[in-house]
Amino acid sequence: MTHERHSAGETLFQVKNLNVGFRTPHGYKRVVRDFELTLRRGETLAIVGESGSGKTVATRALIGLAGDNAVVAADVLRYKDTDLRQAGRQTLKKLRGAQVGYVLQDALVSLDPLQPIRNEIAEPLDAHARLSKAEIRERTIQLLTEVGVPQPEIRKDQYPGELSGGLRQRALIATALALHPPVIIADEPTTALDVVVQAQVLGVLAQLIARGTSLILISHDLAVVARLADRILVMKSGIIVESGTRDEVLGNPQHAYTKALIQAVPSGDTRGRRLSPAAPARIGRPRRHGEAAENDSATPILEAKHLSKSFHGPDGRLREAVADVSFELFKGEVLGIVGASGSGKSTLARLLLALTDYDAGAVLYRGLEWPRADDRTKRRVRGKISVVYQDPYSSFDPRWNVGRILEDALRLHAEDGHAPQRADLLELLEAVGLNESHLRARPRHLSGGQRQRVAIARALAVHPEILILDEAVSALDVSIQAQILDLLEDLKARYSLSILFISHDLGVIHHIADRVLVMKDGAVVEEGDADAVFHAPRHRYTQELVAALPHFDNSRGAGRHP
Amino acid sequence: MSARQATISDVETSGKRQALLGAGHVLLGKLGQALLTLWATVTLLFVAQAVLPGDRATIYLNVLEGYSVTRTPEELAPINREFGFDRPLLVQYADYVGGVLQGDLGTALQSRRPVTDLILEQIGATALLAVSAIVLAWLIALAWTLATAGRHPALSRIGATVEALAAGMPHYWLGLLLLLAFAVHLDWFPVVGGDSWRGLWLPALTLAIPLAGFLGQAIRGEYEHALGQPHVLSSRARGTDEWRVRVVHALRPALIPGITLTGWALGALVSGAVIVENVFSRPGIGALLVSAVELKEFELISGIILIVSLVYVLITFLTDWLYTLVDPRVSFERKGEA
Repeated sequence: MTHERHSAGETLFQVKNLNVGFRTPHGYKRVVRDFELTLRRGETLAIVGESGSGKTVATRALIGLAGDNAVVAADVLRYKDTDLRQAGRQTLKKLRGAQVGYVLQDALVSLDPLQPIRNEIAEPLDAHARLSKAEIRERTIQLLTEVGVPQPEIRKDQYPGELSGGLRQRALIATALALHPPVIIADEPTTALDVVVQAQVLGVLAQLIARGTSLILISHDLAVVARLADRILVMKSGIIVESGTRDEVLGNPQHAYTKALIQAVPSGDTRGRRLSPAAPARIGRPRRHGEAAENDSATPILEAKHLSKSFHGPDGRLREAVADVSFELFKGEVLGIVGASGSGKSTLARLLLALTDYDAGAVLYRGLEWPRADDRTKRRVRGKISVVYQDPYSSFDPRWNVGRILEDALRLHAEDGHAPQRADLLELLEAVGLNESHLRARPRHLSGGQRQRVAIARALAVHPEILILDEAVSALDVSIQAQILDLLEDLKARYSLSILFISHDLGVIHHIADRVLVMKDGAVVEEGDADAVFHAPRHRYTQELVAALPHFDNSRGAGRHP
Repeated sequence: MSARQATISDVETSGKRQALLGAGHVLLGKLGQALLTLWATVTLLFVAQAVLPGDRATIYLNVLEGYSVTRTPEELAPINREFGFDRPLLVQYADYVGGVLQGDLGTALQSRRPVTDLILEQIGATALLAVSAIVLAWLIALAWTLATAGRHPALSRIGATVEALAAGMPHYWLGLLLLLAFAVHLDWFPVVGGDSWRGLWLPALTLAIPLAGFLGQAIRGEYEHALGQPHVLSSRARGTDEWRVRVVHALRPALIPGITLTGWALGALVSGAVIVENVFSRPGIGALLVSAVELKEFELISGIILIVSLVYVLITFLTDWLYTLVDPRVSFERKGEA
């Protein structure tokens, strides 16, 4: 990366004192305050910050798409020589697509599910250029090839739902590229993609940069930012708290928030240290203990023996989702399971929880094949194994407040119909870093991190021995994710939990897991100690995964690039 | 997650052939369902005629002679023999089903003419009325939605309120109102509709306005939801014309609930037609049905019910097919899975 490369380039965007707010039924709400930005030709500018920090709104305001009820004011807001503050509809329309391409977050919802992708790619061409049908067709295929979509003649006629996540993301980028605009704004272009796909998309972006496109990259993934950006803006609560070249900001951060953000990135280097600046939750001694655990650390607490499960595909063919998977989970251990989406991780979790019956093999809890046991035994063991999913929101009854959600879980496993005490509720809340004031809150009033804390509290309510976390931190911002990961470490120690941690994020797994299973197409391709697997992977697939990971070394608080 | 992945990869690899096979399978299933529905209707109608209180021969004689008296067995015997009412029920049932299969729905008592002929004479007018009403309703609903939805919140509220009012208007009241205003007062349209084209407007509007209200309510919610979707913002960010954004990306997904509602509405239009055809003195099934009920013409009523059921079944087929046109994700195959 040669970030000085275009430093003398022509200024494309210039913004001074941009303020954006929204008129809401509850009054005016300011979201972006005194935002400043200068984008030169060929430069890549990254904006980092947690969700709600105003980074998306600020960039949308650049092309007049902040929203119908948005109030946008600025001292300077110009693209080249055009003052965008006075720009009318027509001016903005000419800017969008032709001068500035905008790649929204999450291609699954950012492409119209009812349109084949060729229509979406043709849209900017129709809007800005007079091209014949044949020219548009040719251009579409050329664009899809450019972003690395194989078989473009076939793909162009497919609908977003028929494409894999990576192809979809590339198709979305192709729609923004259609007229080769000088500026591309990409909002979290790699978020929610697994590591291999993410590497492919990063490759496409790197090509754009190499061709001289100016990129505004919005991301909370510092590894991605470290790889692509020339300059970085750090935003928090609508304000730019720090800005500078990549090496300045990542190598020598000045603001406490930037430092915390850098510290929060989990990786192999962060094993055993806290990711968030917050002090450990003051967790009281558990008031009630589960049944005295057999202190035999030699027998696994949970074991899978040659588990297999097949499903019928939509075409009637049998497809093996879990194929001959065996592993052992010992007391107090964190076992990480990594793999791309579709590798069978979540199906495995369902088999372990006896939510889906397996075709062959066995799931053993302390040597007992509990999913095939009688109902009484099953109920007892169910209380020993809790699960937390990626999106707890959908598993909460929206009408219930936090108190009722936890009470319900407590009552479920209270011995002899013991009514849950208020003290039990408070202990749970305290354990996950919440307090009494959250008892009355409903799920929709909580932030993503708070909701995940409630989900963990609910999982703990039954005094489990085993916690299964299925992508439980994948939807969280890096700083919130750091807090939850720290919390899990605290809880593990406090309640001597054994944890099965399922994630597509290698950094998270390397940070928290003692041992790692790597899954591909339903089978375990590699197993071993976390450090061994990530530092010296033996299987080809694991090697690919590790190689695809954009590395961000925060052990010295400095950025490094592959 | 893994299930979704499976769908995607399988669609990618195994291609259209498998999907078509599945579609054929489901199509057969749907055809079976449709036939079952029609068979059940025919059976119910037969049971209603044969088992319900009131001796059929007595009703026949009373209708024929125009007064209600109790008949002696001697009077009834020739009638029973003529129509075969004295045969075992199963034989009569087989006879009835056989007749229906050949398009013979029996004979109307008073006019002594085949029920099939009577219905065929009238059904054209009603079909024309119903189809015009549906087309008008869609035009009104689409124009109203595009004009008022997803713009200023106040405008949207007004739009929704008008829709609710329209949806709640009873046909007889609205029909009279339109008749008084546009035919009597302004004299733009004939008072007696007849079967002229000019006479079609007011009856069709009478049926269309409440339906447009219902359609608008169904479309509006989905349309405004779609306008807030990221893919709409995506399209705007490409510099797409606002009109195209709205029609292509927001209105299209909103058509689905409208289509569902239209299938249902066709049934409701038949009952609406009964009133409207009377208010505007139009020929049609509605008028025929009213006279049939007044005269207790069981065969004729049964025939009309059967025809309406047939139309219903056809419409269901049609709406299923329309879904696949609007939303490529809905194939016969997928619907079959769910």
